[in-house]
Amino acid sequence: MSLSSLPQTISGFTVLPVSYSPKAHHILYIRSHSGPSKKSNDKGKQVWPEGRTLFLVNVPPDATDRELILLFQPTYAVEEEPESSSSSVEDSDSSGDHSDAEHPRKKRKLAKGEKAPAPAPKVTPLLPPTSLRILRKTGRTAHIVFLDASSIARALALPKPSKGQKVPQPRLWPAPDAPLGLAHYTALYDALRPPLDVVRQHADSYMELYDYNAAERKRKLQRESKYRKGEAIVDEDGFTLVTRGGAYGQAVGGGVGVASRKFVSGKTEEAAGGKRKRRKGEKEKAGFYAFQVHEKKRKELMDLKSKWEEDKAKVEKLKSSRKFKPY
Amino acid sequence: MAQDLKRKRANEADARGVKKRQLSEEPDDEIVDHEGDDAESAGASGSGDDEPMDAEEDLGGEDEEWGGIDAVEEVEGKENHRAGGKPKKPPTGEEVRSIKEATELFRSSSFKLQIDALLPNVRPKESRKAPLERFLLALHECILSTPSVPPQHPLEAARALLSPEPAQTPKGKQAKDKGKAKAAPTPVPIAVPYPLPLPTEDANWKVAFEKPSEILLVGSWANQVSVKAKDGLPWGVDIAVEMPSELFQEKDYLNGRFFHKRAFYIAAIARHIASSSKLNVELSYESANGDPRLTNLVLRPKNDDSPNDFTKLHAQVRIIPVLPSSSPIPLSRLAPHRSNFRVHNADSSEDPAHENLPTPLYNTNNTSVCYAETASSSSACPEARDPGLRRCSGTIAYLGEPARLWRGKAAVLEMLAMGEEPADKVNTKLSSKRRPLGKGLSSYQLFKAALDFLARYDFANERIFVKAKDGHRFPAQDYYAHHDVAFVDSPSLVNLLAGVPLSSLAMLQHDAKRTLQTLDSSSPSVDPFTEVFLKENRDLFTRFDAIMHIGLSSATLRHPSIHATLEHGSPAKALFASLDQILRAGLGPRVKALSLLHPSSESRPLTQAHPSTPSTIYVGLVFEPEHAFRLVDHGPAASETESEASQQFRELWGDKAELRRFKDGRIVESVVWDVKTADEKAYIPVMVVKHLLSRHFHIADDAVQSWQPAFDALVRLPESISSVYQSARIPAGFKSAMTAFDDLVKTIKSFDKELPLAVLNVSPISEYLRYTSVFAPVALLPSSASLLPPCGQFLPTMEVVLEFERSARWPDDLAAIQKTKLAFLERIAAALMAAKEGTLARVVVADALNASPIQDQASLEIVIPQGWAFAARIWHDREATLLDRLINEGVNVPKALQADKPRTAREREDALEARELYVRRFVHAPRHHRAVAALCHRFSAFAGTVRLVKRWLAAHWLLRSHVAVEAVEILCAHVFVGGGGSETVPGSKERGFAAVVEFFKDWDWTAGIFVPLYEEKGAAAEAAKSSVVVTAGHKGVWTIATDADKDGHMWTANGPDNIVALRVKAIAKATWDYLQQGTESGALEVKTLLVHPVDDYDFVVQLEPSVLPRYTQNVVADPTAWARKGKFANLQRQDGTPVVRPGFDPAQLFLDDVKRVHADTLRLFYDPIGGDRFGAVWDPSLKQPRPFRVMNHFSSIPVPQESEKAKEKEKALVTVNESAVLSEILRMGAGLVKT
Repeated sequence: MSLSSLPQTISGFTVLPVSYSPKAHHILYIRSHSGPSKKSNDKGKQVWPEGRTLFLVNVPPDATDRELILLFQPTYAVEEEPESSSSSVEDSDSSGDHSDAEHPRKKRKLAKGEKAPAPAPKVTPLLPPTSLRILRKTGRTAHIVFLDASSIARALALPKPSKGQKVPQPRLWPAPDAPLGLAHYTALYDALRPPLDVVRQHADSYMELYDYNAAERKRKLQRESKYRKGEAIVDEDGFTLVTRGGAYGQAVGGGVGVASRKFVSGKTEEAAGGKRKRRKGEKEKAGFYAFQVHEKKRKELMDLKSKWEEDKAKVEKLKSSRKFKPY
Repeated sequence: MAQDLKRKRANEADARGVKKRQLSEEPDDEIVDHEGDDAESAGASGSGDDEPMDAEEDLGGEDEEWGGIDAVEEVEGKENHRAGGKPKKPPTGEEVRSIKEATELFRSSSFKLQIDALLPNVRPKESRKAPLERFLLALHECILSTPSVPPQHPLEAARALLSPEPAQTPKGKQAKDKGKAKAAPTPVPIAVPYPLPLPTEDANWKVAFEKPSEILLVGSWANQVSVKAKDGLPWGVDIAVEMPSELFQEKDYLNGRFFHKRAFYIAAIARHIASSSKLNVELSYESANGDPRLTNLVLRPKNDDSPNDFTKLHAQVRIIPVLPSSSPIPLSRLAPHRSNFRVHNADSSEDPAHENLPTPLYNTNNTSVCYAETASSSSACPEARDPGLRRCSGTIAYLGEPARLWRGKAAVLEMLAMGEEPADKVNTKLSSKRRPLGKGLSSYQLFKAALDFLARYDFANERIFVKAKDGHRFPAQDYYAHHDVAFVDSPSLVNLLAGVPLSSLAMLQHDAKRTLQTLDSSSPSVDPFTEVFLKENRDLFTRFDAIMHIGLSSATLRHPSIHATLEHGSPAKALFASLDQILRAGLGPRVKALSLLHPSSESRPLTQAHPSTPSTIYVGLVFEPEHAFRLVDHGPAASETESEASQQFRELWGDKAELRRFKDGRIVESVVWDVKTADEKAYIPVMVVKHLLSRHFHIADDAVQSWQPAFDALVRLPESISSVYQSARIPAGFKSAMTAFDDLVKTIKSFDKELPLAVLNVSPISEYLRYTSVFAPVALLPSSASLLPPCGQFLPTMEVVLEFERSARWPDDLAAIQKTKLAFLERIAAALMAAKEGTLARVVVADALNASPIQDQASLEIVIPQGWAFAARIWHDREATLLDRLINEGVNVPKALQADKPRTAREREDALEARELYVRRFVHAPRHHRAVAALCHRFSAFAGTVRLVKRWLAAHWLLRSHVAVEAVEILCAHVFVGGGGSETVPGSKERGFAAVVEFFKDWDWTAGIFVPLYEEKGAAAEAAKSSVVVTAGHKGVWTIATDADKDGHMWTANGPDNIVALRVKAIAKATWDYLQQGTESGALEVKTLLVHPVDDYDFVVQLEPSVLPRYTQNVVADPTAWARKGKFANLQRQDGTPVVRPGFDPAQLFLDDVKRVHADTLRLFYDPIGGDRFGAVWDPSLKQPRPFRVMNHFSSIPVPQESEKAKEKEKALVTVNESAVLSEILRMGAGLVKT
């Protein structure tokens, strides 16, 4: 498709053709980021600074942050680097087959730890921060945060044809900064096999953090709960709440795990009901009255016939599908 | 009581049947429709006056405890109900009876209905019979009007017939006759089919023709038991023409003189019919079983729309001259021990014993000519006796059909002539030892009885004599002495099995057993009706474990004997007989059955006197897995060195036979077959055949073609690579891989001190450790890696699962568990490296993008000093509970009790995925591994079958990405344990492969199948029968249930989807057709089976072979890809010491990435085993313009709008940006993709 026929905007997005090679053009759709959508009210979602954020649709699956920056950099003055790799390319795919990379999670956990007064142990990263690219699903979105609002306008004006040209020139995609193809896979293969001491440090430090967090949580619970370990939980009316595990099983009072397994799996009622019914059924005698016998027999005959008819119908069907013409 | 009554009823039916029979026989050509008749006469016989009685007895029979009186009450009760205005009427007594009959006398009621539906299709159509009847009348007239030919010298007579001129008759009277008869056009030249020994010039006897004393309609057509023939062959209508007895003399039994007269007789009839204008037919000769003595005349109609044109019926009329019962030839001269050939040549005259060798076959043929009439009359009476029989014999004849098969195109088994005859007689008339079957049996029961007889009857050692009224004509000893097999019918004239090779009978027996087992099988996934009656059972590849295609052009007997030639009728027949005998002796217990298949004797033009002999034959073997592959054939002991037995042994084997002393002290004659590898053991039966053929028949090895090596080559590395492995002494093969694994287990288990928890179990889950990977596993050492080209350095990793003893100290959090696993793996790695010098152990973590933190992700990669690579994972059973909790949380638990933060849908998804992986990897995979490994031990052909099937699926770009290897293994197991019975279990991997392909071809996957993969059979199968519920998700449509996996989606959850499943079916069909064609023409190229057509793909990407570590495994690997480029052969490769990366397959990684990245755009197909190309298809819906959305999940490009206005109003449309996607793929595969 020739570029000349491309519309300049589409549904409010500016169309930005990008070329990797003379022949193929990738199409980026850009728009300035506006306001939090309804969804982004959820906690955990980052809030992008209004006015300075560029919203990209249809990011190439193999694009790295650096390449994106470079794409928008050359013609313009300093721009702020977009946020760290995985968070800038927002994971807006709800299908959920890709999780965020490990880093942000850990960061988040770290952040949680940091709220505590005592310093939390740091987790040694398992994998060295490599420049390996991450191949994401195609057709994703990303946000780029600029230093100032004016850059946005200039970025949006990018695809406008320059003077003397009618057709917008596609932007050239910057040179790759991370290996691709065979080199990428070889590097990835090696990177996924970290040295044993790193593994060990990582596991140990992670467990330390885990223990620390657990202890922290416990402490917090204990602080917040009015019940203390080993004390009976008595409510306003004076009833004692019986919990499983007693004094030693749970960290603090409060019925966290009271429900039995049966209760959770929801089978209790059914099972009980079934049992009751069966007991009732046993009491009735099958062949006590003559009419029961008659009924039973008649039913058998009817079943016989209906099965026969069924078979017949089945065979008729097969017949009509010409199954009986073996050759 | 019920039984008595039933019998009584059957008797009545009998009587009726007899009556009807008589009626129908009188007007010979008026044929009464009996199709439905039998069903009705059995079922609805009570519909007349005896209804009340029948109803009563029937009900009484049903319910014994209530007795007769209540039954009457019951009837009344029923009436009441009916009067009570119930919506549905209960069945009437009649209906009940027929239903009961169907269910009890048949396998099941639907089975009976299916048979009823089938039979009309294999019987001639009534509406088309009329022209035939008219034709037969005309023919009758025509034959009777044939002018007689006065006696003349046989050769002269033959010359007369052959010349196109009007016969130069020596006698005036004949000239007149001929002249009269020949107002017709000039007669066609006709060769008289004189059999060997040809009459000589000095023959002092004459041939002549007189009009037949009687003309009869005989055979299965007359008895109305004929069934449609396979391959579009016409119906056969047999007419016996009785030659008048005055043509024969007492001495005619000698030297085939009788047959010469018969030959002339038939030629004369042919002459007359050809010259008569009334009958518009094509004439040809046909020899039963290729025996020139039994040449008959075949008439086929020409399409001319005349009233007696029976083209539409698609039948042919066969004229068989027979001898009258009052012939002058004394029957006593035809007893089995009589010698009726006087061979006068130099050799034999010196040896008087030789001259008088008995000629049982010749005698039998002679008698069989007398037989036709009696046979037809006698087979008519049992028919009449039992109304069920006709249906049954129809059924049998029908079943005989698969056996009689090969008729048209492929080949014919000689036994086939007997397919019908003995079979249907066995049922009713019985051998002296066998007791008669009861009357009133249903056709199904009779059918089974016949099969049972065939399956159990020990042909080789028993002679069967059907009970006759007045004893048998010839003493039984004669048959024992002179016939290999004997089955003598009640008129006691003919041994019906004379000349039938024992191997064919063994084959028949094998087939009968197989059918019986199918009928008896209770497996829900087998439909016995389809299996027995509808399925084509004569395909070479699924029928035989080994097939050889043998060119006979150079075949000569080692000890040619004139006597044998004369006895068998023709040199070809003698050759076949001795082939059969020698192969049988040589193979012995190695095979269950052996069969020689050659093209059937087709009809030939009248000018050709003798049937043409086939130039190639097929030998098919069905292995007896216990013995087939043994290395040594033992002969007689040495003590009797000069005995007859050892001489025979030496004669049979030639220089292969040698005297050997065995470990147990015996010294015996033996033959040892030397094989290099265990795989080659499978060749032994073929080696035996080849050896025998070259020794006894001078058939060179290259004239014998078998496909085993070609199939084997599919699962082997190319020679240039495997030789490197051998010369460098790199360990390879399943056995050494398993030894290495056992060593590893021992080492790991000894780490009690180094690890906080003891290792309980190490279970393998890799196909390399259960014999089923396409290529045998190989080890690779860094030191020897340099010998191999970069495209042959693939080192497979074998996955194992470690199970630790339970402990309460594991963290109660999924992510933390994964980290704990890391710590464990690190400990093991350290311990391993310390324990054994040279071990390399590394912890492998998952690619951050693909694994959620709660999913099992870490493994330990171990490369042991011998070069084997393993990947170990840790199974912690607490994970399942935690995941379940994550998934089920909030479902049943009240809000108040829920954990503090509510889970997002996303987390739940993650948990679901993690649990699926967990269940598959830790619960099912080890169990599956054990079951498959056990199967490999149980069936020697199983592993090979799986390997071939995997190779085949991989070559067609379906394995792994669409069909999981475990699913393939289960489906292959279905062929072995799926309920077909022991006789259907393939004995070689080629047959297994063909069976699986056939299964794929016919599989209706919407029904799902159940495979009893795990040991417990009966009960489990029953339970599962109901539980195979097909829930076809959009991702996987195959339902393959096992005992452990009742839903049947464990291995097929991710595909194949509907499109791919259809593709599998189409490819299987193409493969199957090619197999068929290839075997028939003998030009089967096995590799062609794996050549994948790429026309269907939207684009195909070529990868660079020299960088793919698995390229040497490619089906059509090109050796130049790894040829040494340098000048010097001993130069080390330049790239320095190569790094061995176990399990590293960049093509796989790349394709997985492409597949993931473009999941909604493309569907990818590729060969995971060394493929160097991949194909892809666009999602067709993406080509349509669709509205622009932010979350489109594909790389889009705006569609230009027609007008500016429209752009504003309508939603902007986009479509898939194909060139961008292609360039992306090229980018992602830089260095891999060939540009």
